[in-house]
Amino acid sequence: MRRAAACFLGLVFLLPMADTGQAGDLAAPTGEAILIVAGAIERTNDHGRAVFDRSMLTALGWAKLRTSTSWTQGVVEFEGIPLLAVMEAVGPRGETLIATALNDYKVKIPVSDARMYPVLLALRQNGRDLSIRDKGPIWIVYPRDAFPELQTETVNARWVWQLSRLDVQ
Amino acid sequence: MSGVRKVGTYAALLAGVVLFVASLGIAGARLHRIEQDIAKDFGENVTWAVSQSELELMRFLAALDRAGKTAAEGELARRFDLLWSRVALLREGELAARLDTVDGARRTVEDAAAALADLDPLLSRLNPAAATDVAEVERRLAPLVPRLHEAAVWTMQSELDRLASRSEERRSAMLEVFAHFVALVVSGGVLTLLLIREIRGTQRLTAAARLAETEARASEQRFRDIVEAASDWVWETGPDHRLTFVSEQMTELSGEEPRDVLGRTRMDMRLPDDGDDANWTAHLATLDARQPFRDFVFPYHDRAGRRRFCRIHGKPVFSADGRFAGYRGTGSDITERVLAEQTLKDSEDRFRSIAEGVPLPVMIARMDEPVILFANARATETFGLRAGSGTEAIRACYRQPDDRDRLLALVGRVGRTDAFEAELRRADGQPFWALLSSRTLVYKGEAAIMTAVTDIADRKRTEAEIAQQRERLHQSEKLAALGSLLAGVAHELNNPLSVVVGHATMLQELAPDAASRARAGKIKAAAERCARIVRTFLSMARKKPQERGPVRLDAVIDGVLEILAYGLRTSGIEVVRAIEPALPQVFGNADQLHQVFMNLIVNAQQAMQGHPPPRRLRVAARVDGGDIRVEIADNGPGIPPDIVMRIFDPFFTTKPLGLGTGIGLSVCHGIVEGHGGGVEVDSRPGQGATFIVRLPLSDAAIQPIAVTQALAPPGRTARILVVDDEPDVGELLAEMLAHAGHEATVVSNGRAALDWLAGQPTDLIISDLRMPEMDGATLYRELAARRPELTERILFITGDSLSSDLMQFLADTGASVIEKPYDLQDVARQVESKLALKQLNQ
Repeated sequence: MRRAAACFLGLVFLLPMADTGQAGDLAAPTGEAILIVAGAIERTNDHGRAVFDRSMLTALGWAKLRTSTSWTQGVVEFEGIPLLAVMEAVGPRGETLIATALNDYKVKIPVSDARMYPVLLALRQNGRDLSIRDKGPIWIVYPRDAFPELQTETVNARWVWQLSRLDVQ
Repeated sequence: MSGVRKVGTYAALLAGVVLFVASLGIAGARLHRIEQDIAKDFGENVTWAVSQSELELMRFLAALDRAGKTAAEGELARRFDLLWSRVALLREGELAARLDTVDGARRTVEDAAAALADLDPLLSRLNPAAATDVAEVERRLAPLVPRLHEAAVWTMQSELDRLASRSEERRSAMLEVFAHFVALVVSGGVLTLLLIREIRGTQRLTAAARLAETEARASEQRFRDIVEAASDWVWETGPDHRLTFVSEQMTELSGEEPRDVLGRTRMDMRLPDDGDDANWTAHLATLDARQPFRDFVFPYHDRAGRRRFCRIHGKPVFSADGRFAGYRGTGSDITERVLAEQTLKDSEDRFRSIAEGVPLPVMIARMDEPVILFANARATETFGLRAGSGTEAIRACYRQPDDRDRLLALVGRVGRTDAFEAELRRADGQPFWALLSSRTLVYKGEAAIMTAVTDIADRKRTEAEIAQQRERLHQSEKLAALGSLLAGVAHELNNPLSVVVGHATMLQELAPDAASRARAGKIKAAAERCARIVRTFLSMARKKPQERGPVRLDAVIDGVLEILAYGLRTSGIEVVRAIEPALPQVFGNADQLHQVFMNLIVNAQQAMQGHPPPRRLRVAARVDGGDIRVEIADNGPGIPPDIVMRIFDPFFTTKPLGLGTGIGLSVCHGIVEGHGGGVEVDSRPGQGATFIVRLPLSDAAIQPIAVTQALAPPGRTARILVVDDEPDVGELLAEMLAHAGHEATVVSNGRAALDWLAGQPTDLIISDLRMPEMDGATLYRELAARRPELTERILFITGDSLSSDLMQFLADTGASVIEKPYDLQDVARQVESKLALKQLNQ
């Protein structure tokens, strides 16, 4: 974790705008950090990055989403924070997110997805907190049942589980 | 039928289209499913997920290795959780199902899951420092690494196989889609085309129906127009053939009123004298058979009693129940036409009778494509031509086919000719000369050429004869002119020759030595020969009546040979003379016979000239039975057998132009026949020719005079007066007479002679006939008037070819005459006989 942080620190240093984050409006995390938002964002709390712990995320808003998935049987109830809330919290100045998972999976997600659909950063599934063992702690969930246009392989690829970081570009 | 088939076709096509649409949908759906299947990243996911599990396992083992040394706290647990989630994922849903199809993969995953579950309690209380725990975990998990790796490989392999088969399926599905699509397009296209055609057909039918309606209206109008304007009238008859209806046109066309004919039958109207029974019989048979008829023409008398001709067509009419109801048809008045045709026929008959009556072949041929259109009987008889004969037959009439082209060209240029001569050929192939008269004319509407042929063979023959006669006349005139020239020359030569001969004779007798005598003899012989030649010329040219008398053939032949001697010698011809001595005389005309032998010998000479030497001419004469047979034989080329028979024909000649006239042998033949003899030729090619002349012996055969005796010695001296205007001649005669023992005095003309006679007694007067001042005849008449006794004592000498008045004079007076050039012995003999006569008279 520390190594990864150092790595990202180096990366952030390379970015000229990174300094603006020093005077970030976000409160510093108190618990274990579970999500880092970095890149072209307006509000930061840790060397140009926005680092969130579980309580910070839940403070941004809470939502439920019932949908089927390509990886589970039947309809599943997800609970978590809307992606849009996270975006509004950090103030993205780019249109693309690069989502990275603990297992190093990476995928590009248009910021517009967050505006057009109630995309959820799910923390709970069927009333249980998501653990790393079952795609936790954060799983990006799309409302694929409510919006059939989202039932594509491209969108399926954006269902990032074990999400750990978002970079705004 | 066609409609049903059409509907069936449409149904089939429509069903086909529906079927193809449906199957295209099915195929498309299948293709889509295959595409989706291929596109699904399960395949990639399962391989990837397995290999990620392997990777995650290795990362965990690496973290375990580092545990307690550098690893952050909780790192090992998090790695374990990640590994757990990886393996768990492989046991769920589609991934699990896919792994079931890969050998051993699922088992590996289950074993991994089981190992993880077993290690889970150990790991939660794991002390990284405790080597035994770590070893335990490693012991359980390490063997899973190669197994997961192997599972990943097999999964990949299986996935590739699946993709390959799916690709195959996709290709066939695409083909299927394409095939269905093509079929759909084709059937849809055909259906569309059929529909379009159907629509158009319908439109056409509508248009046709509209057109048909229009045409029906037009046709009705047309029919009405035709009926009104027709040159025919319409009629109807009942079952009994009586007229029940006639349209109004009849009045207009024939002048007949319908009411005059209604109720009548054609048979009623028939003229009794039409002489047309066959026509009527056939027509009635047609009516009985209820058959339609056309062009039935019959004459009848109209109201005014004029003969008119009517032509009708008709067809039977049957009522609805099939009963015969009569005839209906049209009729027209063709009187004008019939009369015109009759006029034409009459004119043609007239032409034919004239053309056939002409005693010449007359033909009419088409101009451009030669076919005989008309040939009269004479033409058929002469040339075998008849109407219809073609080019070959026409050309065969001409001996030179070009002549026809020339005739056509001439007539084409000037339109006529009356003087075209050509050699034609009769039907039997016999050629003859004809005069063609030709005209261009229009015969039955075609440009034609009429030719009449006149046989001018007779005229041609006559023309040829005239030409021959003209030629003969020309020849004889030429000869006559030549003869008179020769006579003139001979006359001029006579006097000097007489001098030569006379002096030579005397010199021969008086010369003192034998050598001089011999020479004088030679001169005399030569001069005498000259004299003979001159005499011969004179006799040829002399226009004596064709008197006949005893002729010495040997003398005649010798004369000819002498005349021709020079020519024969220069031609290198050896002359063999084999004339029997003491040949009897023949009765004939010496001049004509002379001409015969002249011609024969000249012929022989000319025949041999072109032939290599030796050239020999043999002239033989002997008595053969009652004839004298003369043979003229040469060793020239002979006469080819094919012309032997013709050589005596007039104007036949083999000599080059200008050399011969072709009349020589013909004349010989004529003369010899005229003498009761014959001439024939015996010749074999290459062995010369022999002409044999036979002349009958004279009845009063006179034996030849014995060979000349020497000059007779004078009996007694006589006083002789010589009257001659040429002093040399006169003196020679005087000298000769003196030599003979007479007293001779010479005076130069008749007047001097009269003067002399007035004073001197004279026994004999020898006088020339032609002299200046007073000629011989005048002298004679003067003496007859003054001293008639002296007329008995006159002996005339003449060198002239005797002119007719002199001949008349001599004939009237019976005076003796000696011709110059005279033989002195002859003169002496005459003198002696005259003197002897005088003595006798005294």
